[in-house]
Amino acid sequence: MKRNYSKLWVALVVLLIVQAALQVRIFPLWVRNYAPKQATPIGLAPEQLLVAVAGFREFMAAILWVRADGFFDSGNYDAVLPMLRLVTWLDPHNIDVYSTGAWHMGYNFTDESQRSDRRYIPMALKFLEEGIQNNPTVWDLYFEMGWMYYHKIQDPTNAVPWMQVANEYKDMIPARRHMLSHALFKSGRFDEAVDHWGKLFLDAEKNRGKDWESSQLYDVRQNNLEDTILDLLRRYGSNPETQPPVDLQFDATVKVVRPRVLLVEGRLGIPAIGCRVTVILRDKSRTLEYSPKALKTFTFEVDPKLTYMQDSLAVREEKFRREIDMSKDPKMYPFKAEEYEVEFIFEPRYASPNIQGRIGSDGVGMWDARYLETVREKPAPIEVPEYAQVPDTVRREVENPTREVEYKRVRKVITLTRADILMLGRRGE
Amino acid sequence: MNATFAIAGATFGEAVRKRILMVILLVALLIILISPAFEPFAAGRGARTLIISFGFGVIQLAGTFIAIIMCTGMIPTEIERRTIYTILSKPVQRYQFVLGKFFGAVSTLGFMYLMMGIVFLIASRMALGEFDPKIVRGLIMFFFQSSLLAAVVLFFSTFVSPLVNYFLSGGVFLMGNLLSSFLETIQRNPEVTPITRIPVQILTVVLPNFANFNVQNPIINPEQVLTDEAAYLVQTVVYAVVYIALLLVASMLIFNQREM
Repeated sequence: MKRNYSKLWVALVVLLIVQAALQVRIFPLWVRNYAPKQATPIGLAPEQLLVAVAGFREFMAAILWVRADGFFDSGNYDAVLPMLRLVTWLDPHNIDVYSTGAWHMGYNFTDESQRSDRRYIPMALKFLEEGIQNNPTVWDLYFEMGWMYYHKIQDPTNAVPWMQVANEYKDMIPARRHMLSHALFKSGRFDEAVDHWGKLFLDAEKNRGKDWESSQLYDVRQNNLEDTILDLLRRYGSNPETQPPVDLQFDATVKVVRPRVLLVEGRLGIPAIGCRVTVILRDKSRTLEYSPKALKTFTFEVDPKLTYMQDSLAVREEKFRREIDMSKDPKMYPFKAEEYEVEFIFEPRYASPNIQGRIGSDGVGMWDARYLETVREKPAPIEVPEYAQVPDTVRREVENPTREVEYKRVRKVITLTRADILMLGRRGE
Repeated sequence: MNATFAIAGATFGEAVRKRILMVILLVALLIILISPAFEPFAAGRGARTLIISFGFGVIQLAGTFIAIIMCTGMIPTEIERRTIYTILSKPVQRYQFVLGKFFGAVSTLGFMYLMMGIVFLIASRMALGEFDPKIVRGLIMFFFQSSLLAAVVLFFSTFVSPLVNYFLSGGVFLMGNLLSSFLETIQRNPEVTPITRIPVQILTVVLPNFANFNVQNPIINPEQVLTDEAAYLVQTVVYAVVYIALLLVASMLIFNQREM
């Protein structure tokens, strides 16, 4: 019997070592493929936590997501935010939650006049970054990040790297690949935009006639390629339509008409319909950093002391005018700082095609004696997760961007004090 | 070997006659069958997530309960009823008795998983209009998870009372499900000192890791692209087999030395 026991002891030790070795091999793969990747279940009630631990993580997440949808439908937007946190903790691989959640943060918090609260944008970017870190092998969230820059922030320069990464994924929806060309074009990287349209066109040609969708894709890409080349020839070729430059004679004024209500008006000398001037009111010397790195860790709390208003003013008959009422939303516009800057910007990158046809999408055809400035910028380096399916060349390019772009814009800044905006003293306050 | 299989057969027969296990199985089957009723709560992709995750959750929970309830009393009941003396007085070695009990438990689990799996596949086909073969992969992994848990419970049943065994096995199962997540979290946090990290690393390697078998997430979220999935699944199954062997050897060692 003793002999048998010693054999069993040896077997026990050997098996213990083998299982340990296996576990050491399995763990990195588990982390890569299956780990929940979220730290703390803050906000879950004990019974919810128990259910989650008992194998119902994803089910619990799905139920909470349905509940969040209910809150969204009833307009209770604030309640949606903690739900997002819980759902992504329970199921960090649900792509829809990250993309819809970021969209919700970026677009849906608005004031009485439907101006979005841009203090939520860095939060949306951080949320997407977390989604990307948790799902590096899925293209969707890279694209969503690019789209947030392209559409919401209107920063095509920083949209490009994210769309470049998304574009490397083979299963990306074909039509979404077009966005990289659009972003490249808007950011002034015309040569790369044409190259990308060319590649897309050649790809579509392989499947042309296969089915209706493939033929449609071919037509769209062909049209876009031709239009892009034609636009470039018209704007930048010999005898360009963008010359001589249009004198914008840009100017803007601000008047406080009631406490927290501004009347902004001005002039932009472009004789075409469709121009828009951006107006930003913010605490002096404080800008919102539109970057996932702006927040150290993810939080649903916006800075309650920061005032940041952004609106877009339509130009009609070379003039713009709008009364901006910030009196109904004290949480969004707390006016805690002593000084504020009101910034008026017209830049051509997002102007309509008829306007770009005259002044160029980089402003080469516009002139202003007082407020014209040239912006030179490079995309901010982005952090591509280790497991992203991206070739080294693209990874190096987006992690250390070198290509600088430049465009022209007009910009005027007016400084106001808190006393001016709140009309302190005039009403005995 | 015949003795082992005879004991396994008897254990299986006894287990499927146990009312409590059958009640758990029937309740699980019923719940899985009504899971398509979740469809109206969320359209399209959401419905898929709800139904598949719910089915997997029910199966995993039922498997866990069946493994614990079935195996806690296996050896202590035989001792209490003194039937073990009748068995061991025949040409049956103690190790054969332990092995027979374990194989009987695994056969029962296999039968229960087969039932639940068939119903789950039918329910998901009814609700989603498609048969997803990946579900089978998830079920197989859960079966190995429950088998490992059965081995843990059997191991404890060689030296503790059933009541203590419930808590011990439940605790080990819970720890085994959470340790990997915990280790992953503290590994990502640069502020965690080695004094905290090293004991967690040791525990993760020593304790049975039940989290390895929770592979349902990519089945529920099919967009996920997995790396070396086949290698992972094979290694995890081998891990289960090795760890079960380890626990059976430990059970034999303890049971062989036990005074009866």
